[in-house]
Amino acid sequence: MEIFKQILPVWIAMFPIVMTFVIYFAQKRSEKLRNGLSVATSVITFLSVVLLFPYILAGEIIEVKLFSLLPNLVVSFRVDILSFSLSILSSFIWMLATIYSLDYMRHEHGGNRYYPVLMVTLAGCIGLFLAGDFFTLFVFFELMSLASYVLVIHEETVEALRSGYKYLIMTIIGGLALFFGIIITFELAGSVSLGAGVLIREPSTLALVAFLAYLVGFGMKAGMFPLHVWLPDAHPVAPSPASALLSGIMLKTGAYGLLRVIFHVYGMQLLQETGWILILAVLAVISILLGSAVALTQEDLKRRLAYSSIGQMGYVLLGMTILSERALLGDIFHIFSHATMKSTLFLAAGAIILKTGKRKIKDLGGIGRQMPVTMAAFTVAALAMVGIPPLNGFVSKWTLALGALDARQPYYVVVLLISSLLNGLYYLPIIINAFFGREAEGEGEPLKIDEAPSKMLVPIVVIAFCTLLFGLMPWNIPFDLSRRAAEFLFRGGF
Amino acid sequence: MFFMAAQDMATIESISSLLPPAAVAVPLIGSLLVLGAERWAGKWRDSLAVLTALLTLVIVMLMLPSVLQRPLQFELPGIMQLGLLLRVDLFGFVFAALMSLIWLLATLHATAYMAHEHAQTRFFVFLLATLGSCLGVVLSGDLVSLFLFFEMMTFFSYVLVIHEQTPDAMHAGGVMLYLSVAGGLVILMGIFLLYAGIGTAAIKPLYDLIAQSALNPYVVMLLFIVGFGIKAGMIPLHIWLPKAHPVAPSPASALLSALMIKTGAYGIFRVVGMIFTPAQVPETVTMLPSMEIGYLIIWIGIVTMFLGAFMALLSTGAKKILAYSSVSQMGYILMGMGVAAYLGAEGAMGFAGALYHIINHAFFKAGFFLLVGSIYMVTHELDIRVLGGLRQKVPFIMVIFLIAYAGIGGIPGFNGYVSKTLLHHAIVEAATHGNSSLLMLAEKIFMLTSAMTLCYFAKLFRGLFLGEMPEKFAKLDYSFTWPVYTVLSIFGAIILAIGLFPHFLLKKIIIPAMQWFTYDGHMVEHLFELNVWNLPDLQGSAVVVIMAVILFALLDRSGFFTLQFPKWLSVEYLFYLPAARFVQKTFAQAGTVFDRALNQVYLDLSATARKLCLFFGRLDAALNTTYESSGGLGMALVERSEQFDKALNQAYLTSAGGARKLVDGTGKFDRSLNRVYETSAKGARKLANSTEKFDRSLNEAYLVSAAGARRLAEGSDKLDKSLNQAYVLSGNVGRKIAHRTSDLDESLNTMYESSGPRTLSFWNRLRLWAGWRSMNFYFDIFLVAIVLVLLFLIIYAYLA
Repeated sequence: MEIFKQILPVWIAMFPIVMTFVIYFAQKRSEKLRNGLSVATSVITFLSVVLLFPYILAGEIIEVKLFSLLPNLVVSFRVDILSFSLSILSSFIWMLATIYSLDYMRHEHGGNRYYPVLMVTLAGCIGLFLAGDFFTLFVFFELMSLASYVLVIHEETVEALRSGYKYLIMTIIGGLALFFGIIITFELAGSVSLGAGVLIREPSTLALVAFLAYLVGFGMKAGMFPLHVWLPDAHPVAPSPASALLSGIMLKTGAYGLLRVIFHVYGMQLLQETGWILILAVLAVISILLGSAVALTQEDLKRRLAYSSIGQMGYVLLGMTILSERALLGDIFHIFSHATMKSTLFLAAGAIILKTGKRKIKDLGGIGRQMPVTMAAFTVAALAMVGIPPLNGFVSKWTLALGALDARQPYYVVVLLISSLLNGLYYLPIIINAFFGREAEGEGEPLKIDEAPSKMLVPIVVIAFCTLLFGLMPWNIPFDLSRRAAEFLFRGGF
Repeated sequence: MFFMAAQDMATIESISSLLPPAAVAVPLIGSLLVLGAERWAGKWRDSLAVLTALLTLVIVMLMLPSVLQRPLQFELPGIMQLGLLLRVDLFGFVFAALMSLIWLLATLHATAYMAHEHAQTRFFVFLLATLGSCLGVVLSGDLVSLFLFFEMMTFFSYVLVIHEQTPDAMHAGGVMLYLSVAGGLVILMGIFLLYAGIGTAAIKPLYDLIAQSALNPYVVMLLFIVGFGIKAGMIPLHIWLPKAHPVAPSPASALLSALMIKTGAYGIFRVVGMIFTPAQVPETVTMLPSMEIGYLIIWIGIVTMFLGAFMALLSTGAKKILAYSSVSQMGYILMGMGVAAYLGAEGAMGFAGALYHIINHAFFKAGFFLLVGSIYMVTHELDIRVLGGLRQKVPFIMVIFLIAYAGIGGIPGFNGYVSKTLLHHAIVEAATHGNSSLLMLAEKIFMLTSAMTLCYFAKLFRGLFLGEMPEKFAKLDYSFTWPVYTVLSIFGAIILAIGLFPHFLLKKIIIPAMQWFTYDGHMVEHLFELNVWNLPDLQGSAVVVIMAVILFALLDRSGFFTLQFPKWLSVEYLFYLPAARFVQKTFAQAGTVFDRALNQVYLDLSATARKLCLFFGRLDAALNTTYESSGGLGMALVERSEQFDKALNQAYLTSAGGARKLVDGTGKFDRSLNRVYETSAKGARKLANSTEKFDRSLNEAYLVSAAGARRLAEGSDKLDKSLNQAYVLSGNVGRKIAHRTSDLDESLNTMYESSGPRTLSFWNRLRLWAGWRSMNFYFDIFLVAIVLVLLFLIIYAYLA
């Protein structure tokens, strides 16, 4: 069993990579085989992550050291409660998004490119979460970032290519900054392992530079102001399942990285004493307000969702700067919440766009009567965004706000609530228009649109149901995981 | 006394019961059933809705016996990670009972009202869902659960408001929804602060905890007042109410105006009048924060009641008048609650007045909306400038109208009288208690507003029922189905019953409802012994009526009723639109501009970077050119130097040639010298060689002579041997010759013997063979040969 436990993380990170090639060659035989293999890969990855659950529940930390590149620079995996939480979240959403893709991509070109890239991105994402040191993390980070470029430009329109180019350039800058930070950390601490205790204990200029480099690197990925400019361009142009993953999961890798930086590289104490954490806090507040405010003026449905992601990631970034245990709990839970909410929204938006071909919000009048299930899921997720009880958005907001008050920072709560109001102002009109608005004036017969196909509908409904379930239910696995993770990190993360 | 005993019981644990959750769940489940009924049992849908409401009423009423003893409680721990707590005390029960009863009546009325409307199922589904969430609000045991149901109510009732889906309705619904969401968030902020401060948000007297905490009670209470005040239609947060209530279908308007706005008042009172009060009546009289806030609420109430009535006087739409009337009446209720909070433990009168007025207002306002709705069912018009003369067509409705009118006007014998009397007592008590002349002014405004109430309803009455009936309405069929008659009759009966027996409710329900609040026992006793049928109060009522008559005459004469104030004077134009525009500007537009600018910065940055790259590229090219040109120069230089080099080379070569020649010459000399030496050496060598050769030949000669000698010896030996052999051979030959001679002799002998005959034959044979010519030939040759021999002999002889 010991060996099984050791192999499992490596298997989880490597399996999708291996399957990428298998899928690539399988597609020459038949599309069905390709699709089946893709779904199987994502399902098996999810189940493999689930297999980690008993060990994690027992409070174990699985460490796997593979080989060492340089002295003290070991390629390693390390699964703690935080890694596990994010892995299970991402593999779950990935699984549903892959199933959703089956029907969505049927009408699209380039499926042969799409599925292998989807899998390799999954590997990058999960590998990043399971990585045991910053170097391994960096490798998977770059793998994910570069592979997702292909997802962004999938449509190959001028717009997509432009956005993709922007994304690529920003990603490379981010990657370089991250690398810079890691190098400095290695220089200062002699190790970049996550299991080696707090790495940097003394404040120094170099340490500050490294912190800023981390902020740029991970903040870029998390869509933090002022590095968010790629996000509202890149997320809407990608195919909807990819948008869901970009917004729902991949943004979280930035937040995850920053959590690791705060708790493993610097430690709360140093950041609090030096006040460096305030840099992140201020940027997060601006992200929240800016993202929400700009979302108000967006006409394009997916673009509005993308701006909303900036605001919501601001919550997550803000939550980690408060540095109280309850806020951290809310923070990690909000990662879960936002992943489910935003995935639902993007998947539902994708179904609507696929069926109607309309992207402008004002053209979507009456769509709720024609696609009631899709829009109902959209509504649930949007209300969760606003923070309406008993949905999970409310629970995370509640915990975050109380955490902020624990740390005697009521201003953050005000920011949170203003943003909620703005969320309401830009989400509710979509819903109102969809259910009660007049149908868009068109020439001749109004288009008769039926419900999305089942393979798209099922994932949408499942995630939307999670949104409700993970708010309402007392047995709340994400909440429980978040609580354990918050405790774990607060204890020092070892 | 019983009240004191009851207060002692407050310490007793509440009873756990499944009735509260059932009361909340039944309408919610019922709404889903109605939704299902649309598909599978269309004609039972209406009955199902009514039955659900009825069942809810029954469940709520079943709680009464227990609630009179102690609160019912139900807890679902872990819901939303915070737990859901339902806790029913008598105060909450009054609301719940009121809601479930009026909801039942409104639903029954709606089956008639909605018969010709679109989207009926949706209406019933959300009607029941709203009931469930409303009940949830008043049955909640902590503010978190309350907030949950409060938000649900907002969203469900939104669908009721926009039912018609006209642009007006959508606009009104939008205003209501966004204000409610904003209000909800303000409440949430209050809950956050409270919960973070004291660790609980339970609805019970918590001031002892709050006083110890670092919480700022004023901020928290103000947050709650603003948040709930939006729902309560409190001025200046009321703007959604006159928009939303008239556009909703009448049964929904009735519920909105009669009940849902009360949840706002309920919330305010639960916070200010309960949570922020101490659990025990304080020994010494101190000014608690809740009292100061209570003073504020009194004034909010006064302003609300006056301005609501004022706006109602100006309005012409029947439902608009009713909506503003609701605002005004909420002012009464708020004022009562303010007094209750202001007087602290001695505020029992305010409490009783407010609660009583809540009950009364619910009945007459729901009645008004439903009867106006009934008229609307036929006329589809409610502007009192257009309508008129309905007294002949709908006398029944007119009677109910008059009863409700008397109720809201506070005419003795109808229900409004008792609550307004209590409220009047309360404001007077507050004024005398605080010895405040300002509050005496408030009392005057109270009286004036009551008169104004009579006025605007008189205006409404005249507009609807008196005057001439326009042509187009005369032809319509004014018959109603039984639910309309039943429901309106019930409202009339209740208004009358309460009005005629005012003390029953007061003693049985309202005073017991105080037991979970902190009120001074003797104040409650005073209230218990109160009799509203006394002269001063009846006189007060008469004064109001007289004032109203005068006022009505004045206003009517001056044309005030049809006065149109400019739009910009309204609070909406003075405050909300600018505020909305401000928000739009600051957040959305500024944000967008900023974001776009940021994006532009990035683009510019990249453009600059590209320019920089281009510049460097050009620099590089220039550098390259420089190198190239310098390279050319260099190359020329190199060529020159090469030429020079070549010349030099040539020179060298030439000089080298000379040298070489010299060397060659020397070489030749040397060679010739060498040759001389070589020749001489060769000569010597030849000499040596020849000597050697001579030597060798000498040697050879010796060897040859030796070999010759040996050969001679061998030869002589061989000669000897061959001689010997020859002797042997000659001996043999001699012997052979002897033999042969003997043989020859013998043969000769034989031959002689045989040759006789044969000799001739030989010659014969020869002749025969040669012929004669060959004989000649041979002969010629023989001759030639002799000649030749002779010739030779002669030549030989000559030469010799």
